Amino acid sequence: MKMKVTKEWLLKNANRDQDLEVTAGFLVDEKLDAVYGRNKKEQEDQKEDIESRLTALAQLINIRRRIQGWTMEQLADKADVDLQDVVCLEKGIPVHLSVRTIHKLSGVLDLPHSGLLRLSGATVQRKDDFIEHALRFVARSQKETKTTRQEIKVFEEYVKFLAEEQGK
Amino acid sequence: MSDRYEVLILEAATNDVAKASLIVDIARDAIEAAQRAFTEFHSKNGGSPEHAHWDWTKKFQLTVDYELTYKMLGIECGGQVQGLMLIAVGKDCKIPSQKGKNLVYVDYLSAAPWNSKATTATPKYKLVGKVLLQAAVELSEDEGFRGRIGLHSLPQSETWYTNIGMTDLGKDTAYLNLKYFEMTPEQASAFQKG
Repeated sequence: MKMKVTKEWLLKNANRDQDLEVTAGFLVDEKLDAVYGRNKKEQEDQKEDIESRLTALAQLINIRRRIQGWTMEQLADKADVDLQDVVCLEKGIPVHLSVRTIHKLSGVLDLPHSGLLRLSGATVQRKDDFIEHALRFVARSQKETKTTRQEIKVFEEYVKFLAEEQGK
Repeated sequence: MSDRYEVLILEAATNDVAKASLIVDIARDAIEAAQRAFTEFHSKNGGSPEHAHWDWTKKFQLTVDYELTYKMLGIECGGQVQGLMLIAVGKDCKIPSQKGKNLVYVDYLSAAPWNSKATTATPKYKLVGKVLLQAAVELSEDEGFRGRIGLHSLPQSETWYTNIGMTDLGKDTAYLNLKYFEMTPEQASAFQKG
């Protein structure tokens, strides 16, 4: 990230708007209370949803990469993204990814862009069967050194679902 | 892990430039120290800006529980946090011409109470909020959103958001009737140029 704050920019703004406050947000913390005031089960469900999404994303990228016969390093090189991002993604470790990184990975791996965005949490989640499909994919795919025919079949079915989602 | 960028703000009394740091993904202990200082200032100096009851440590929890969506940024100068902002990455644009595009949503933004005219007659620094908003635009560019941002303005700031050219989408009944503003890529470019 670059920050372009010059003295001239500051002085121009200071002279123009010297008495105006810059604030934004809900007046009170009610919105947060609404988020955190949920009952415990809802909070646990939310955490499980995040875990399901990240695990599905990890598995999806891992399988496609192995189908291609690439190492994580080769994938990072081909997509021009940080190796650390690829490693975290495949291990299901929460990491802040830019939309650009997801876009590059989906391009190189030929996976549906919007589906990867939703799995990564970069776009807001709708309440539908998205999580259920992610869970089913995780449950049905197996982590083995070599991709099995069954694994590829399950993988392709899930990619098809994500592609159909993108078309909605 | 936090990232730091060198930025400038102004001494309110003299308009002298002060070197400051913009901290992206500011750490929990810095937020807790800032909240203690904000609370202490309010209790000593009174004043009741509309956002005086905000608890930034509670807001910080969102960056932990929803790590991929929320980020907290702060401006530090003179060893103290001078302003804080919580953003959410990847919300939907509401301006019809930007339909289907994503933006960085500024969930909360305010300067420290000692920098606010609502709390003190002699603010220490100024333009803290504006530099934070500039950071939101930069982050939006980094995310590939071309500077698009959105926010619900507190009433005292509506004029400023209009002045910098943001689109006023009117009062949001789902948001205590706060006005919702959005910045398009063209407006973001104009804002960055000043």
